[in-house]
Amino acid sequence: MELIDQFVVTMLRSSTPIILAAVAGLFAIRAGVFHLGMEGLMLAGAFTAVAVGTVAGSVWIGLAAAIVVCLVLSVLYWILIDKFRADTVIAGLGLTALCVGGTAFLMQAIFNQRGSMQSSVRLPRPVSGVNDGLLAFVSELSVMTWVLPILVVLGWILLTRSHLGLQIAAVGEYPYGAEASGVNQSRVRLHAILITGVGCALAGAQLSVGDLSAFTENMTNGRGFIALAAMLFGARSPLYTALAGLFFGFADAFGILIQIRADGSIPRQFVLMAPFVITIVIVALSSSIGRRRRRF
Amino acid sequence: MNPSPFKPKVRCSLIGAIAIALCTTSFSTSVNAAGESVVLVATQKAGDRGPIDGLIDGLEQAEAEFGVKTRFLEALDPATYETTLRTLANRGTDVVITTFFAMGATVQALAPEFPDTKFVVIVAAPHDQEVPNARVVGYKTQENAYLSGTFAGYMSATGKIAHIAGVPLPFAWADYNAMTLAAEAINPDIETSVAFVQSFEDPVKGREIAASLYSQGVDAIYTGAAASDIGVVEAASESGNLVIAASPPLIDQAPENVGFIASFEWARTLMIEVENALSDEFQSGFRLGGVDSGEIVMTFPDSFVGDADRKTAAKTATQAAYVAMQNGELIVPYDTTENN
Repeated sequence: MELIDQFVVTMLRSSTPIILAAVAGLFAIRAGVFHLGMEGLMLAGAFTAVAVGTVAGSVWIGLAAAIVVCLVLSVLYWILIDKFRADTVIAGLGLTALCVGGTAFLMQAIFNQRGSMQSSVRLPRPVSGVNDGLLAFVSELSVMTWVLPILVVLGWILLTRSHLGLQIAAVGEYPYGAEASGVNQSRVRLHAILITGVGCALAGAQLSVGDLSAFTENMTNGRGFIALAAMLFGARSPLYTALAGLFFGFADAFGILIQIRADGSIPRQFVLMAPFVITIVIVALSSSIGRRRRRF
Repeated sequence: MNPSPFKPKVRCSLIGAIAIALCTTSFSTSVNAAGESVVLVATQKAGDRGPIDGLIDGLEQAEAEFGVKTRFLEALDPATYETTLRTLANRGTDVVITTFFAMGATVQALAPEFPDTKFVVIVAAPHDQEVPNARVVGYKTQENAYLSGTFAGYMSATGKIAHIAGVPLPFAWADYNAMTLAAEAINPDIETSVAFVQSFEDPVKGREIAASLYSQGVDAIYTGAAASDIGVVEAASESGNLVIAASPPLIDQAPENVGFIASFEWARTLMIEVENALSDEFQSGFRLGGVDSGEIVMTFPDSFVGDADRKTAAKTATQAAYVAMQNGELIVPYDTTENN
């Protein structure tokens, strides 16, 4: 495979979980919930997909279980912030901490494994076994990456062209107005948080049974927080958020590419910091352009 | 008028808590009276199929062999290092064994306050000043890398091999340079490269780096990136290439692709250190474990599929290098120069 092909594959694979979580997270953030529990939900999704998928012998059952677990955790989060009026940020961090500890505990308690566990199932790759030609380029992509564009468009339609999307926006931007017009804020927030949970479950499953066939403790490694950054970078628009997620995948792939191509002419420290520098520059530039547009 | 400032339920809870605390204290005292107590404080999580799991095995062996009472603790947050060690020393623990570089400074600062407790740090830099009740152990990691470079040098058909490390610390560069030295001794034209995951806990990124290297013609990777190794081994399995790891349990993940393992005998290191700590002639200071002390061992998995002739040649040459190290005929330099 050519280096550029590998670069594109790496970019797509790296960005898939981020885009999934980020676009789903938009529902929560548009409903006025800054959901810091996404990292934890991704981890719970990753663990459940491996655990249930391996026991049941079916990746689809594992995926369904991951969604169910994330829905249950999302309801718990909703009860905390809506019924008990807990701070969304603190409750979100608490949810993440619960999932970090909970997955490690359950892995040991149920499977007698510490640190990591292998999965006997993984997501199918629609195009596989091709080593040459154009198809070799995409043969390493799991089904999740293939359906990602559909999910993004679906997210865009739901958020901007559906009754629920309008209610979510109303609750997030002008809650008193929404209340006055008869919208049940609590129920709308629940729906938004549940959709976020589904997206995080898919993102986590992509990491453990899509990219790898294993679960390791804390394997999300901050990707849930990167998804939050992608939402803000993407100006809370589904399509721009997907592009922002793609950009983070690009930065990841670029970091790998320049490491591999490094010939010693540039000090290694600069090579390793390059993706982060590019990210800061692009985010600063986009923010500056956004401000100028708003001014005129 | 209520004579107590506490409500009855709160009062009961307080009495219960005090009773539990008293019971715990008396239990701890009886443990010390029954025999020496050895506590392993790990700064990484157990279940890594590597150092921590190996040290836990050693702890269990030490309990069986020396009749000591043992306990395993995790201290993952650097902010808790000093508190954890201080608490253990205050409770009269005889031997506290802990892990990795960040603990080195903590032990150096704390150990003089508790002369009756022996402290051991496994894999850290030597202390600046001699601490009579503390010992630091390091490994000649460059020896593992040299053996891996020898094996990879013989096995590589494309003449391109690579090393994947966690973060660019000096020992990672020393490993890379040792691997290159060995491989170039076999094939002067061999191309070597190094890549860093930038984390010891990101198997997803480890996999991406390995897949990119394999796609560029690299056909043998020596990986030493802790939990990130799982991703590297997965990429080897998918692409059908050779991977050389540092932890035997990884063989189960890709039995056909893990060709060679040069691993530390963490359990043996722990046994050596417990024995030293319990000895009347405790030796403090810095010690380096390696092939000569039996703390680096080799595994050639039978399940590895590779060119039969190359496999035979690689195994013979690697074993010869190992024997030369044992006899002191081959000394691998610890060269931390940042090449590549």
